[in-house]
Parts: sequence; structure tokens; C-alpha cells
Amino acid sequence: MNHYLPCPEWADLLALRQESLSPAECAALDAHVMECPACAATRADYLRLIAHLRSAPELTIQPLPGLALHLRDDEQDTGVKWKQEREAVAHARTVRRPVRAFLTGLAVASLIFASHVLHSLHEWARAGHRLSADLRRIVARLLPPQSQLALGVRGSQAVWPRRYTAEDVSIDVQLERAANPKDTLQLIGFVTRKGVTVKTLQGTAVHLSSHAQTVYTQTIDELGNFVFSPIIPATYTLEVLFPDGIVVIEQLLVTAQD
Amino acid sequence: MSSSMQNPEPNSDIHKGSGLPSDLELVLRARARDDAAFEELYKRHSLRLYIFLTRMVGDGAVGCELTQETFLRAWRSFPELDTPTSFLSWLYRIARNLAIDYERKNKKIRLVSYDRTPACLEQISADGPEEGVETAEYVNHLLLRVKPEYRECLIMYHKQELEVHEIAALLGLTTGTVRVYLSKGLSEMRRLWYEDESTGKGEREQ
Repeated sequence: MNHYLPCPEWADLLALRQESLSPAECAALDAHVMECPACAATRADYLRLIAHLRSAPELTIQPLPGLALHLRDDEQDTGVKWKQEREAVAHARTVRRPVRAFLTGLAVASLIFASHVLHSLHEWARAGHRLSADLRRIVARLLPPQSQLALGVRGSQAVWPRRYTAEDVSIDVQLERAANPKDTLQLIGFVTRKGVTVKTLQGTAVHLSSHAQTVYTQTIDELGNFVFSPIIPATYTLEVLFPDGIVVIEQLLVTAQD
Repeated sequence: MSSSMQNPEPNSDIHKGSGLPSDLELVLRARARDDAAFEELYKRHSLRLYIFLTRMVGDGAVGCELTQETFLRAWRSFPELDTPTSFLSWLYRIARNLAIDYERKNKKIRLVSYDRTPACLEQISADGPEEGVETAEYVNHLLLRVKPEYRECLIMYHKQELEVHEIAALLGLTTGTVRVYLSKGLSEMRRLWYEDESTGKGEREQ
């Protein structure tokens, strides 16, 4: 292909969408392009470029849900907390992939372990306790850590990562800490549901709330993960909003020592 | 000369009559240090700022960071906002300055890498679905190589589908300047495209 330069007097109009032109401009430009091979080639190239610009992949990361954590304090303190948050986000970029891989592997192992429990629950559901038309709230229960079965569960203070189940749903949650500074925490989750593909789960809303904080919303991504970053130490309630019911993790305790 | 007085900011009165506070009300409250009002402004405008910044820097995580930085600077600098009706325009100015600063600081190490061959480029008009995705990625890399002032206009016009007068209002430019920038931006992308095609260079240091 040859790189024909357009006529200077028509160059600006060639770069605009048709709807941005007045009828007179549109007609004049069309007439000129019919007679000018250079402007015709330019217009064709521009249309291709614009089509490809518009067909770029959608953005998968979303902006953080809010600024409440920063603005409640004075400006100087805000700056410090803000710096922490930025570093947490930067840290998330570096750790998210390995954490996902870790959680994915963990979930596979956990599914094998939990399949007996889930199977019985599934059979129970199939036996007649079907989901009602109204959304139910199903409280998830904490499972013992795989590597520490002999030690049992230490109540709500169980070590991270934690695994919860509710009927056919399994939720692994992990608390990550930014390397520097050490006060910034992020909650990463991995959701699976028996007989449901990750693709189907993608976009499912997840709410995180505490008594003192606004409800924050994230969605399950294409790998089955959700991330809340940064979070502050508090007792949270986490809800996964499936179309047929809400799975709730209550009393999700995050302490500064975690 | 700013044309923001002639051209209202896009969506500036979208909440009129809805019972929700307008942007102007929220801006006035936020300027008086009402953090709840500022949170609401963040909820309304963070996504569009995020898309703009991500396309400006070509990285979603950096776009996320810069979005937060934009709002934080706005919160700190509210006393400097003389015209509350120009809040969005002011916010975009902060965002574009941050994007340009980021680019300047990372210029020496940023690589725009793409392993397309000239043969692939020649097939640009006959791409199948997979090649179409690759070509879209390539074209978006081209976008990162044009001047920031052209790039921001191209993003707003072709990706955020704003009109020329809306872009002019947001960026404090005349509509004529926006038209010129759109033209020069596309022309620059086209020139780079042909340059890659002729040299066969797949990886260029910025």
C-alpha cells in the first residue's frame, strides 16, 4: 500500500465521524473524495483504524469502589493512607497472578476433599428441598484448613486462607498484605459452584460490608476471583449474590495482626 | 481561550429532575469539605476517568492508581477550583497531567512491543476474528505512540464517543483545535502504521 497524504484543506473533515459534520460539509467531502484518490485512500485507512480502536478488548479491572477510607481523616493522614493504598494496588498487580494460581490449586484440592460433603448436600437439595422462587440467604460454614486437619478449626480466628461452603458453593478467601507498608490488607476470594462453569460465575456481584463502612461491591472475574483492596481491620460480612440465592459469610474477622 | 463557557460539560445536568443532587450541588458541598458529597462525585465519574486514564497509559492497573490519585488531588485542591460548574473539566486536567507525568517518568523504560510482521499488516482489511483482535491490539499500541494531546482527543472522540464540543469543554480547547488534534492524531497513527509496514519493525523503544 502507498501512503497517500490527503489534501490539507480536507484533512480535518476526513478525521471526523459523519454525524459530526454538517449536511453541507458531508456532501462536499463526499464529492471531493469521489474525485481524489489520496483523500479516498486516507478515508479508507482512517475507517479501518477507527474500527480497530473501537474494538479494543474491554477493560477487566475496575476502579476502586470508593474513597471513604481516606476522607474520614485529616489531609495529612489521608496522604499516608492513600500512599498505602497505591502501594497495595501495585502489590496486587505483582501478586495477583501467583495468588490466583495458588487459589486455583487450592480449590481443586478442596473440591476433592469437600466433594463428599457437597454431594450429600446436593442430594439433599435434589430430594425436595429445592431453591424457592424468592432469594434465600444461605450462611456459609467454615471448613477446617486442609493442612491442619489434626489441629481442627480455631473458631473465627482460623488461619488464612479460609474455605467456606454453602450447599454447592465453595468460597476460598485469602488475606494478603502489602510488603511495604505493612498495614495495608486486601481480601482475595475464589468462588466455585458445582456444575457451574467459571464463565457463568463471571460478573456475579460480591458485597463486603461492616458496621462502620459502606457496602463495597466487586464482581467475580473471568478466573472466578474477586478482590477487595485495600480493607481495614474490622469484622465483615461478605455476600455472594447468585441469581437463586445469596451465600453469606458472617463474622469474617480481619485483624491488624492478620 | 477556554470554550467551556460556551460548551456545557457532558452529562453536567444528567441528574436534573431525578431527585438526586446535581453535580454542581455535590461540588459545592465537597468544596466545603463534605466527604460524602465527594464520594458521590467519585462514584459518578470514576469509571469514565478510569477508562480515559487506562487508554492514555495503556495499563489498567496504572489507570486504576491514577484515577485514585486524580480524585485525591482534586479533594486536596478544591479551594483552587474557581468555577464549580467546570468541575469535570478541572478533573480531566488533573487526570491528563498525571497521565503525562507518568508517561514522562516511564518513557525510558516503556517498550511498545508488538511482533506483527508487515505481511500481517497488509492483510488488515481482510482479517478474520482472531487476526482482528490482534490488529485491534496493534492499533491500540499505535495510539500510545502519538502525542498525548492528540491521544486524549482520539480517546474521548472514538472510545468515549463524546462530541467535538464536549471534548472542547472538558479540555478547555476550542472546537477548531479539537478537530485539528483529531486529524493530526489519526494522521500520525496512519504514518506509524505505514512506517512499521515498510521497516518491518515489531518492537520499538519509546
